[in-house]
Amino acid sequence: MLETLTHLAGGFADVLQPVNLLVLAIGLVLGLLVAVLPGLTLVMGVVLALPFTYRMELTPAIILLTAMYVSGTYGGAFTSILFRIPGEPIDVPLLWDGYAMARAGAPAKALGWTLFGALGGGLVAALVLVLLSEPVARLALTFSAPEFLAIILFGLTSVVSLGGGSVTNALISLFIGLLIATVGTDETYGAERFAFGVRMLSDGIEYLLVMVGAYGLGEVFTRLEQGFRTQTAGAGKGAPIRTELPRLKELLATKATFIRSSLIGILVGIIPGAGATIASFVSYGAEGQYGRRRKELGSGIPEGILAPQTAATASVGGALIPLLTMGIPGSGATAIILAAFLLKGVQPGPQVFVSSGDTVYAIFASLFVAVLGMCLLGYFAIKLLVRVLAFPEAVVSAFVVMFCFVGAFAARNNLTDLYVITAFGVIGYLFERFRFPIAPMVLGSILGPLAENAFMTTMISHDNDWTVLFTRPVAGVVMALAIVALAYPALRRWRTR
Amino acid sequence: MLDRLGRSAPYAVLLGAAAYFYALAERFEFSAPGGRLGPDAWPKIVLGLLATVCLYEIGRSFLGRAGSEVSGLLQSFLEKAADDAESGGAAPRSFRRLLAGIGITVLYVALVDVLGFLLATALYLAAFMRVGRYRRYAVIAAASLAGAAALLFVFMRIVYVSLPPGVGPFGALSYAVLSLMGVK
Repeated sequence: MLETLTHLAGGFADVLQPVNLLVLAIGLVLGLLVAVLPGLTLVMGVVLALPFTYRMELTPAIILLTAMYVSGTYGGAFTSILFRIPGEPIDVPLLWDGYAMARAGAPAKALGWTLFGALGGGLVAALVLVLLSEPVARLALTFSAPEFLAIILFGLTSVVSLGGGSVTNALISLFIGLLIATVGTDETYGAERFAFGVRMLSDGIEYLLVMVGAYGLGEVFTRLEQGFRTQTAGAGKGAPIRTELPRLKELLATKATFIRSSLIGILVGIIPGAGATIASFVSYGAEGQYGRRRKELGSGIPEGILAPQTAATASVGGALIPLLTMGIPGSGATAIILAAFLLKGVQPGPQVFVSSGDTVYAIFASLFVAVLGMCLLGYFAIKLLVRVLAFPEAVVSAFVVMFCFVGAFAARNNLTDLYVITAFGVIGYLFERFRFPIAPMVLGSILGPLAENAFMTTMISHDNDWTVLFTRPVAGVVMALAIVALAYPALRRWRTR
Repeated sequence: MLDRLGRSAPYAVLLGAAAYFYALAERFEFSAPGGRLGPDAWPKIVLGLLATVCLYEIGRSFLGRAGSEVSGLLQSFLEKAADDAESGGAAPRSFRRLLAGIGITVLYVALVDVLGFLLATALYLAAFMRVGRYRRYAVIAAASLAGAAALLFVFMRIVYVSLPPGVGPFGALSYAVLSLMGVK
């Protein structure tokens, strides 16, 4: 414990270096802006920031992306509460109680509750991240291929069952993602798979291109077809914009909601495949099931604001645990952070505390500083931040496309990658149009190589005996969870019929 | 019946694609030691699962009742959010605008190597804003020119990404602007 605190103190010393602090501040502002703008999602924002990290050292690069990630879970609350414009899907639950509270004449109070939720949830999750990461990494060191395969399969089934829309469409999306990851030359046998003699395909399809194309361009194409009609006119004008913090007595009255939402956020964050959006919705749902004032939910009560916001920000700390300790990204944003690690030649995983311990503790410390900084910015600069809503969406989107292109191009200096992301942009649009979720495809393309590798190693080590996935204790438990996750939507439907 | 056929069509296409890729996987060239799985094993498993899900959906299209779809956990929340948003009215879609957007994007990718990043980007930004129904031409001109120059400066001077300069006179133009920016 003392050792952990010593390392953490070193991390704080690193983060408080002027360059790192500057990068962190930039990341926070960008994250808040991205979250405020309806045309940009958190994941898109982190993707667009990636090329700026190419020339940075590892520590500031990860600090920048992590700061964007954490503040991206908070900024959208402003516009949801004040103008009924959710900047992110994460912020949709804030429409129900946050906007209702604002409409009842207490917008400053509603903003105060989100600030408290983000601050509290973020700090608790950062603390859990510090306390859990090293033990989890030590545990992960004892894992073999079957355990890793089971964890990855659990992540993949979670993203299918927790998402919105048809489960079968989500499965199809996932399988397409897994197949995308198989394109190119196989590492074990050197066999060319689905490359059709095209050199570009022989090198494989980088998951970064899938992400940038499907999330970035796909979203822009969808909005373009709708004529960029987000209702932002008049936003930022009229009522005074300020934040009023809740009183101690009010805070104490909501402690159960806070604890429950923090735990939900961290747990959902830890599950590979689930992210801030799912944490926010699940936490709101749990408040509706178990909250003291569940019958008043939706009428503008603090618990309805606190629950989604706390969980959304807490999920960031949770999502960093599997990324840092096992090298498994649990969400789109952590996948980008993984890409930044890999671009610097560092593979997150059980050994990362040995190989890059300083960086890991700097990331931990940066999360504490980022949460505090984000809330300070939110408190003092909210008026300025919401002004970006006045930017025309067509102009912002044109620049988003450019950032997508430059980001994709800069990774390998290869112009043909631009064709690939354009193709994935069209695929992303088609997925959206025909109600196939994009997240499973993207996660499949990210986790596909890890899953295949773990699968092949398992089969080779255990004479092609797949039952080993169920007979080893840890793998068996995780596989059971994966099966429950997959079967849950069907069971839920059967019960409600 | 037509409705059912329409519903099953995307799954039938995917099923056909899965069968085609499975056949391709059968023809992967490799030599695996005896008893070991080859590089075709994982793709075949995934394709098999894909085909199974497609068959299920095709079967459901013809035999299942309407609304028998199994949804993920978020669905009920999303439906509530959609109900709340309905007061604003659904935005009309324009396929022509979408095609124009995709068209200029493909054109940009094809021409950026020839025209160079600066010129191609300025043209693309202007065209995209126009296709996106933005009509303030002074803003379009200023944003596209200044934006392209700013992107060029940021990426070449600060991030050190080597962006395509273009060929012939376009290259000369790029180098002139770059030297004005102090980029060598």
